[in-house]
This record gives sequence, structure tokens and C-alpha cells, in this order.
Amino acid sequence: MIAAGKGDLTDARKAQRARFSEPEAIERAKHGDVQAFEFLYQMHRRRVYSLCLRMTANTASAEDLTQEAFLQLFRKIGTFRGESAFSTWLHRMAVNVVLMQLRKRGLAVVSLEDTLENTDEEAPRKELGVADRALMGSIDRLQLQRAVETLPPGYRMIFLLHDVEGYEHNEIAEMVGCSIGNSKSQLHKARMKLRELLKPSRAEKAFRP
Amino acid sequence: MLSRQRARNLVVVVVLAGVGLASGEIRKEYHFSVGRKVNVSIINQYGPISVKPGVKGQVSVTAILHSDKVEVDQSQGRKRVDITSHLLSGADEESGAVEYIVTAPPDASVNLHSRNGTLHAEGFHGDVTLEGAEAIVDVRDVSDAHVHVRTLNGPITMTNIREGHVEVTSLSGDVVMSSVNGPFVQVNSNSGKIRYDGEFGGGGEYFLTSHTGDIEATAPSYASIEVVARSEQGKVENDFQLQPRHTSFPIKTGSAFAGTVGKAASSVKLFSISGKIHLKKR
Amino acid sequence: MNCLEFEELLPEFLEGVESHEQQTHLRSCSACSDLVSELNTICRQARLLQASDEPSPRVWHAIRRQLRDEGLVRSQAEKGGLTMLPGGAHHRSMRWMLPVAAGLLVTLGVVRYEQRERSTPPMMTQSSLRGAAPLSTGASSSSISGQGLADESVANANEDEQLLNALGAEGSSLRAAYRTDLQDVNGYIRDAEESARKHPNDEVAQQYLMNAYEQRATVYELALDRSQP
Repeated sequence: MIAAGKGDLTDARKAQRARFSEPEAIERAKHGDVQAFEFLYQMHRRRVYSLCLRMTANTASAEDLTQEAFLQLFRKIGTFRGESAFSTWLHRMAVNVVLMQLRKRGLAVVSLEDTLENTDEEAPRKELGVADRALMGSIDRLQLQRAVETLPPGYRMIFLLHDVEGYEHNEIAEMVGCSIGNSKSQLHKARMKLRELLKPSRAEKAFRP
Repeated sequence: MLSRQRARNLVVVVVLAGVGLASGEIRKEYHFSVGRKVNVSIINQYGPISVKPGVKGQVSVTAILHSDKVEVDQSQGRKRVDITSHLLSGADEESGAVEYIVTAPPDASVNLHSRNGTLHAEGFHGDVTLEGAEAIVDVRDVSDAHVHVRTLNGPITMTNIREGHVEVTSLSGDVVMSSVNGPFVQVNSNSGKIRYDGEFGGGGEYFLTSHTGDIEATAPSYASIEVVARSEQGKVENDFQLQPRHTSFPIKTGSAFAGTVGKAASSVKLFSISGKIHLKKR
Repeated sequence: MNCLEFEELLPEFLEGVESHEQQTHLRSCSACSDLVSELNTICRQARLLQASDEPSPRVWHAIRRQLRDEGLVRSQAEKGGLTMLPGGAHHRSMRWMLPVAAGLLVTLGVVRYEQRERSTPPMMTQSSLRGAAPLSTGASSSSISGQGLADESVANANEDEQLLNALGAEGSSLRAAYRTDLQDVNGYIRDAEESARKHPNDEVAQQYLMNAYEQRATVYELALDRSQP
């Protein structure tokens, strides 16, 4: 006998389906309800983990940082008063955890103030007057993910915070400790570098139909 | 995109009754198409589970059910495959037993739970978590990933584990580690013996502690460690010539020692309340 | 405006600060126009990377364990007693609360031990202060505050009996095995406390205590937790 399709979940797993709204879960978590903690974790784990993974390009480090971010959140949850969205609060915490880790490792979070001379090695080449339509609309998530992983840490952080996570430059400047101008300039360089990385090679172009 | 998703999740179930099996046993096979870094979770009440690397892109599960008093629930999420043994009314340790033989891609992370039986996982570079009150645990050849083991009375054997966190909790089961090196290795035992034979390498932190179980650690002469060992009531022995180092507690000869070997890259702590501790030189 | 001048101002342009000159240049220069389109594509596609990956279950296990160790979660018991339901339902209700209560043992055991030793208020979280179950370290209570320890010993023994009763359906040999396990861990807790009394402020002694309570929590979890989350 052959059957195809997904199997059923056990009753135990069905019982674990979410029963809270987020505000309810937050209130319950303040009183030590472990299921509320778990609910909040399940709701937000992907975003926090993805940020940590993009920054460290290492699953073990990303998981450790995710764990630390949530632990910090849960330790401080009693102080959350709802002035901002819970997800914003959590996300800030995760960013700070990642930044602290990078600083501990002695990695530059952002490059020095913007001068072309200082960043020559990292700066993407300017390709003026070269028409290249190959990039438009052809990036998928995996390509972009791989390209982001190869960015220098400073560029990567600003790109992740601005274009992936949606922070404004003034927020980024405050978080990472740089000027708004530096944040803008790093972002631009990151995008230009990604553009270079994402262009297909000449060999790939030769085989295109 | 949606039809591709459905095709990827196709599960093929083959049920074979009575072919080469003992009377009453039922064999089922499941095949899951999976992507990278899938999480494979097997929750069993009774019976062994073995997981080994297989072909990329596929998780294959063979379940041998000892009777019709147990069912296998299986489900697949975006990055997960979950298998659970579901006991029916009247099932006991014999009739409720299921034997699982599983292959998964080498980058899968693996969670195995069974009250008894052998839990075996080898050859992965995704996280491995093994738990069971009476389970006999054997994990080997895991690199760049975390390994977590919790048992009460079953013995634990770990071989060639590298570059990840290793955390072991055991009560009376002996813990035997060969070539286990990484940034963090911790064993928390009660009466079970702890035997470590390896390099204490990687600049890691190694904590081996017990209540009454003896601790025997064997390292090569070229080991690079900072070691502290202490037993409140048991004997303590050391085969290395240590460069002395300061500790926060008094070093009573025969009950404690502390010092460095080589460049002291790794930190090794051996503590027991009444077990014997012996740091041996290979 | 030439292409070089256009690219100098490109960061601001992409932020929406556009000049008439730049717009004019874009209309006439396909290279710069393509450049702007490509950078916008990268910016748009970047959102795909948000929340695109999932951590392994290990992460939640570790968080949950740490929350219990720190006393940040508390059991159903503290809200108004254990729910004693007939038959199998009792087991199911215990199944949720006992691992959480067991986890509290790790932190509260250490903290209450320190409180007895120093007679100073414990550094407990608000949640753990609300009617936390008293703890004991086992039968022998000779050294200090005999009455206090005896009370805690009784409470601990009661918890263990509840756990063993909850396993009633599992068979006498299994209950006997868990009973032995609990005796072993309670013995470890006793000895760890003794060590801590002899060596106050000793980190090793504190570590023994933490390890002993971690083992106690493991017994409770493995006895009751049939499935991982």
C-alpha cells in the first residue's frame, strides 16, 4: 500500500498551537508564564535569527546570539511599557547583542569616516558609462544572501540594518556609533559592492539564451 | 512556486506487513524531500533510533513497529521533519516499541528522544540533541555543531566531536569521550564515571564534574591546558608536571591540584565531591 | 551634469533628494538610469532576507532552561496549588507544571541556601518571590536550622511522591528506577550544600549545587516530558 501526503500531528502538538494575542503573551510573560515566553519566541525567532545569521554567517554563532537576545528580552520584559512596538524593542536588543559580540571580537562595526583613500580596498569599482541590463530583476534570495555574506563587516551591518531591517540612518548612527553621513556612505558602498557581486560573469553571460 | 512546494513535500509511505519481520511487526517507510539544514526530530517512547547521513535532499525513515498498539505520526514543515511514536490504548514497553532507522543530509540537525533503546547519530555537521531516561547514547563524527545529551541511567559514548559546544547531563550512566574537542565541553554526572581521552584542544573550556563518579582524563604530553582539579572526599592524581597557578581555594595535596601545561590554551576543570580524579598522560 | 557628478550625489538621490539636474541627466543617460534601477532592485530584494531562516529547536531548549535556572518562569502550582485530577488527567496536568517547578528548584535551591547562610534577603526575581514552593535537600538536616531544613525536606519529599504517583500507570519497575534517581540527586544536593557550608563563597561548591539542581530538573523533565516542544 502506498499513500502520499502529510501525516497528522499528534494531539500533543495540536495542543501547542498559539492561544494568545501578543499583548496577552507579554502580560503573562511578565508573570513568569513559560508558554507565553514560548509564544513570543516562536513569533519573533526567525527575524532575530536571520539578522544574527546575516551578520555572522555562522549558524552556531547566530544561534548563540539569538539565545542571548531573547534571554535579555525576557529578563527585561517586566520593564516593557508599550511605548514602542514589542517587535521593535526586541529587535533593538538583538542588534545590540550582535554589535557587542562583534566589538568583543575586535571586528570593525563600521569603517572609518568616509574617505575614498581609506576604503580603496573595499570600495566597489565605479563603472561609468557601462550599460549592463543583466542585473535587473534577476536576483533571488539565495544569490543575495551569499553576496551579503561576502561583504566587509562594516558594509554588511549598515546594509542589513537599513535595507533588510528598515532602520533609518539616524537610528543606525545611534546604534552603531557613527555619524549619519557615514551610515549613508557605507550603505551606498554596500549596495554598489553588491551590484558588482551580483552581476553574472562573462562566462555565465556567454551561455545565456 | 506553490506546486513546486507541494512536490518538494511529497511523502511516500510504504507499508510492508510481514515481510522478514517477527509476527505482529509492521514496517513502514517514509521519504521526505528536503532543503538545506533541515531539522529532523524523532520522538519515540520505546525503542532504538539510528540516524546516519544519506543523500542530499532527502530524509528517509524506516519504522519497525512491534505491534499495532503504536502508530507513527509524521509531518513536514518548511525546514523540519517530525516523527512521533503515538502509543495507543493498551500499549506497553514491548508492544509500544518502534525501531527507527533514518538517513538525513549531513547538514541536518537531529533531535532524538527515546525512553530506552539506543540513540545513535553519526556523521552530521548540524546540531545533535539526544535524550532519554534509560537510553544508551552513541554519537560520533560530528563537527561544527552543538551536541546535547541528557540521560539518567544510560551510558553515553561520544567519539570524534569537533568544533562545537558539547553538553552532557547524566546520573548513573558512564560517560566516555574520545577525541572530543571544541570551544566548550561540559559533563554533569552524578554517580556515573567520566572518561575523557583527547587533546583538550581548540582553546576551549572543559568542565567535567560529578557527585560520586570517578573522573579519568587522559591527554597527550603536548597538551596545552590550564587545569584545576579538586575532590572533596576522593583521591586526586596527576601524571603531568604542572607549572603552578593560583587558585581561589587552598590546594590540599592529594585532594586538589592546579597548574598549566604548555601554553595553557585550554581551560580544564575536574571537580567531584567524592569521586576519584586522575589526570593521565598518554 | 556628467556621470561622475551624478554618482557623487547618488546616495542622496536614492534617499529621495532629487534635483532637476539629476532628473535631466537620468533621462538622457542609460548607464546611470540602469545603475539607479539596479540599486533600487537590490534595495527591494533585500527585504527577502528578513526573517528568512529558522534556528534549531536547541535554541528554545537552551532559553527555557536558562529561564528556569534564573527563576524567571514559575509553575502553575504557585497560582493556587497543584491541580489534582483523577486518573490520567493528573499526569497530564503535572506534565506541564512539574518541569517548570523543577527548573525553579535550580535557582531557588541555591538562593534559599544562601539566604539561610547569610540571613540576608535573597536576590530573587519578583516572580520567584510569589509563594515559591519550599525546598529541602533531603532527609539529613543536622547542621543548621534543623526545623527549616526538616520543613523543606518534607516539602521536597512530597513533590517527589507526586511525581512518582503521576507515573503510576508506567509500571512499578519504572517508578522504582525514578525513585532511585531522585534519591541520588537529593543526595547530591545534600552533599553540595554541605560543601558550600564548609567553603562559603567558594565557586566550586556553588557549581556543585547548580549541577545537582540541574540533575533534579532533568529527572523531572525526562520522567514527564514525552515530547520535545
